[in-house]
Amino acid sequence: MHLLKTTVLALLATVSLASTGIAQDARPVLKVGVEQLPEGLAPGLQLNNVGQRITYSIFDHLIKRGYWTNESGDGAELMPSIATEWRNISPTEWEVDIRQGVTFHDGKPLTAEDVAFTFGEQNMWGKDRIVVQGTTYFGNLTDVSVVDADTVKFTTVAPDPIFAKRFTAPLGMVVPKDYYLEKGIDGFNLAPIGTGPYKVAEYRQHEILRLVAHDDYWGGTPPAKEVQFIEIPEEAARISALINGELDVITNVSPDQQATLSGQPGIVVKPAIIDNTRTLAFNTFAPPMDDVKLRRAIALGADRKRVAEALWGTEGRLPHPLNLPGHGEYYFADRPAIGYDPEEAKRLLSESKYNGEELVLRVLEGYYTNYLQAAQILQEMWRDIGINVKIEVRDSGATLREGTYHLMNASDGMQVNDPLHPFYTTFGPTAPRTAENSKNREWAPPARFWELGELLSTTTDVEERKKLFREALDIFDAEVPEVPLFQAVDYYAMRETVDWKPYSFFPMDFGPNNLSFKTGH
Amino acid sequence: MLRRPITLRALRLAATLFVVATAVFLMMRTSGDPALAIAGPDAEPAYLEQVRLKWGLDQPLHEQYLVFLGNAFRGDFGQSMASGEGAGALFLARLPATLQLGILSLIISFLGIPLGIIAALRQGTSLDRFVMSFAVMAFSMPNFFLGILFILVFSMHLHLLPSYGSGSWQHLVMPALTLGLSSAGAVARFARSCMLDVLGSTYVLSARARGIPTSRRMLLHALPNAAIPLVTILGFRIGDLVAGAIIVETVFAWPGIGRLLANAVASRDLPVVQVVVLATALTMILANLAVDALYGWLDPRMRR
Amino acid sequence: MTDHVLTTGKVRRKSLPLTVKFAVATLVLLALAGAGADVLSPYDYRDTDLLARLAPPVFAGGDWSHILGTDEIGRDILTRLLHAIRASLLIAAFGTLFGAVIGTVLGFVAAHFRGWVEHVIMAAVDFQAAVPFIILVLFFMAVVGTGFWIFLLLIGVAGWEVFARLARGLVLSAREQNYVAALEGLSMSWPRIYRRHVLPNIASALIVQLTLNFPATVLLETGLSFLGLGVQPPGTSLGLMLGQGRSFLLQAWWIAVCPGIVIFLTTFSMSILGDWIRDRLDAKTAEH
Repeated sequence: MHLLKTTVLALLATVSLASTGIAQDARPVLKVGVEQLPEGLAPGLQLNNVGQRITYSIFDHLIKRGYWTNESGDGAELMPSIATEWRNISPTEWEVDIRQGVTFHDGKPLTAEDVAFTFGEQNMWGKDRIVVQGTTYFGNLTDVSVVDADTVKFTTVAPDPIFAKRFTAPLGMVVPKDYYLEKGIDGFNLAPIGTGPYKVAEYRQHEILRLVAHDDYWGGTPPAKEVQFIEIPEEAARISALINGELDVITNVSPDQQATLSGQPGIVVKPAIIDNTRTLAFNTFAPPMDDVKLRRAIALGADRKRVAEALWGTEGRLPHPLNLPGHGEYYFADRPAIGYDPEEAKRLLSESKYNGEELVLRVLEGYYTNYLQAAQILQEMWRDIGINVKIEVRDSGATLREGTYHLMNASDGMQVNDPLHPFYTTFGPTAPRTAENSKNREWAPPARFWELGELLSTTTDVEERKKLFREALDIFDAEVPEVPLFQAVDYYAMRETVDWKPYSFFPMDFGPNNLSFKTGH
Repeated sequence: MLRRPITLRALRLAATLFVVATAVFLMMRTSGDPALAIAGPDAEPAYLEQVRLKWGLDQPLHEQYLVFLGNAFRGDFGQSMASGEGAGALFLARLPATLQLGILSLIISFLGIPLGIIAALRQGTSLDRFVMSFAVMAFSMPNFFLGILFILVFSMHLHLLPSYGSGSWQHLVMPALTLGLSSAGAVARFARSCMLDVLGSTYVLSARARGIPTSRRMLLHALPNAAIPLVTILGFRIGDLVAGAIIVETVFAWPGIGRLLANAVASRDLPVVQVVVLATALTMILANLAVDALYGWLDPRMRR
Repeated sequence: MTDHVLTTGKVRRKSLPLTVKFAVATLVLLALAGAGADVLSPYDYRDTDLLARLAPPVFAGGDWSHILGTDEIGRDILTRLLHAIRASLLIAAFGTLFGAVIGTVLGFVAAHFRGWVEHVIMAAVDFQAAVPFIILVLFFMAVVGTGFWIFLLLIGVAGWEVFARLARGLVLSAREQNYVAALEGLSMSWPRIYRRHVLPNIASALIVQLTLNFPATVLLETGLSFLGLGVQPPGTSLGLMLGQGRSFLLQAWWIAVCPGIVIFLTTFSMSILGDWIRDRLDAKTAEH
């Protein structure tokens, strides 16, 4: 008996030792300090930058943009993800092969059914669709159906030149049909399930989001045991926490602070030049802003290059808001943004109907880094040529557009690397700034502008598309509905031992492609 | 005889809460379009419509008000318009953190009382000047500034304390000091002034003339009289702490209701704002009631 | 300190102590600086100099072109500071006085009439004390719009409840005193009793509260500016400078420290002055 007892105990001890050996996870916990956490995590609802940053770790796009394929994080090649292959079988039909062996965070396998549902009529583009904004990206679909266990067929209303690229946008993330319908999008928003490298363990609003590794991730073993996103609104506290060793990565480092941080031992600062331009939009429905001469004068009278250099240092770039290097072959280097010419501005001003009245410029508190500073500098420049601008800061989106305003802070983002973005999304028929049924309509584009957008959405010939895009840019340049101020640059700071690079858009990728830890972490 | 003041007071409490709820409702609903705050400034018109329909924002104002009142009576404060979570649940989840912070800060501010009294007893000496200088420095420092200085010194340079969040007593030190010190300074000054008033009063001086020993004089004659105006001010300290918590919790990323309120106001998240404001109002009113009661007990002349 | 009661009744005139002289001088200097902001400023408060961003003050490595350095868009700190002093002192002075007068009057009314009048006034006090001021400001800003004078009015409204409660409490106490009953027996009118007898007696507490409120008002303005609800850019105030400067504490500390020192000096001087006034008033009261 004594021998039996000892043997059993020894056996138990060995087993428990062995299992601790198996369960022992040498991977570190990654702590990320962010300025703001999103209110929810459903891809259909979180389309802004704070949400995109995080949903990338929880979900997978059907097709991914290959950000990680080059050093600067702006790779544009389309990479297989949940979809392994896609074929254009007829002008309006596409067949997409679905990866096998992918599991959701609750262990259930991903099926073609989930893909078909995510991009189907019920969820994305039908009359009573769940994701209201789905038609902006997938409004051209007329049918999405399961062919067999690993194939889905998509039918479009017309030939689609950017079919595959659409899935690289935030709405292109795949959700689990049964769970999603069971919870409803509001419930899903608070407790999401995806196929991404990390799954939600804890979510406390505006406090912390804890993600734990999804070890069955199809893309490889997640490099971190846990990723924590912690909301720390005060920049000084974020910086202090990083220097102190309490955090591994922080976001939203302002350009003036990055010099301080770079000098700290053990800290590395990396810039991410985002495919998003901060602009100054003109409210053409508020006289005298309906006069294009005045708009052009305001644009020409602002030395935005100097402002960008002063505030952003050498990182300050001044692209044309619609014509971006990210457009690849559709980028026209010979079409820069409107320049700086104060003499011409004064001349135009005298010809316009402007009589020195006060023009109101609205800025949303804390939304765009350095925007208020830029506005104050520009205000002085405009004063010098006789334009009287008053800055009004608003604390909330609720009051941002109340009352009369002439100039509005804005941004144009290239969600998909095709000339249609931001041209037809930001200034299209469903966009808040230009839609006919929009309460806050600021510009009514000429009919031809939208015509060009429609044509561009359904033409596949590259040369033809370039022609159409040029014409659209011509109209935009003639109308001057907005002025670009500077390209968004996000600075991330991290500990030296964290090998991670930011991408040229909002997502933060902590998956196996992009994150590893150096020795000493 | 004692029943009438209580029922009157209870009525006043209910009336105040009702007025507060109505005022907050009006303020939130008339200061811009909440749908824009919830959906974000770049939201499409179709999505904005959906948000409005979902939260009844398209209904006429008085109908929204009646619905809100009806629900509030049943204790249903609705869901947060930003996240969909229950407003009441959100509040209760955050409350302990603020209570922790608040109680410690209140204790720190109470430390001002003995400091002020000592300064009064040693009026004119360097101790008096030292204490008062400290008190002035404490309350003349804007709380967010003090908080950031603390973080820079104790976290970043000295690596002694954590820079953000909650969870251990080390996390509590800086936020509590930031919130409580300024109050402590104000309390110290006021305590000193009340004490000096009383010390110079005929009542106390005649006690001195009658030969009553100092300690008894202080305890039985001076302190109770000094306590009366002091008690009034203490009631306001709680109000200051609540207001200060909004800023301090944001600076230190402390997960309390001050931060909840700040976020909710920015998103015009009416249900959450209602819950927090009503709870704060209730606390304040109860605190003032307690102050009144203490008042009556301290000053027998007050009792009717 | 002054045992007037126990002396022969002669009032000893004491010369102003050094600290009080310092306090008065500081306040006068600040008031003059604010009043003369336009004249004394080397630059326009809105002038930007993009080549001289975040320049240090002359005593920290900078040059005399910007004595106190520049801010993040190259505006001269000395100029901004002078205008900020003007804005903040105006707001604080007006706000405090407005609140004090309204509050004290209502406090007296409540204490005198008692009954439902008192309840209504106290309910208003409760209401104001119960609603976080940030919400009241938000509402006003949203409906009425941002503006210097609107903000000024709001700050005035912020402080009345402290005075109302205090005045009511003190008047209630005073009414129970024997001398008041005696005066009433002599058929003196209540307004006269209040003005000539009660008010001087409670004045010291009110004055101290005033000196406490003034800096509190400055701090209220600071806090609101931190939240973006106060004075709007490109205008400036001590609170706004401090709020904007907090992001640069590590590399351009002067942006925040300069207004910070001014806030401290204002508060300190006000407190010293308040203490001295209280002491003088006590001496006067003791003469009765």
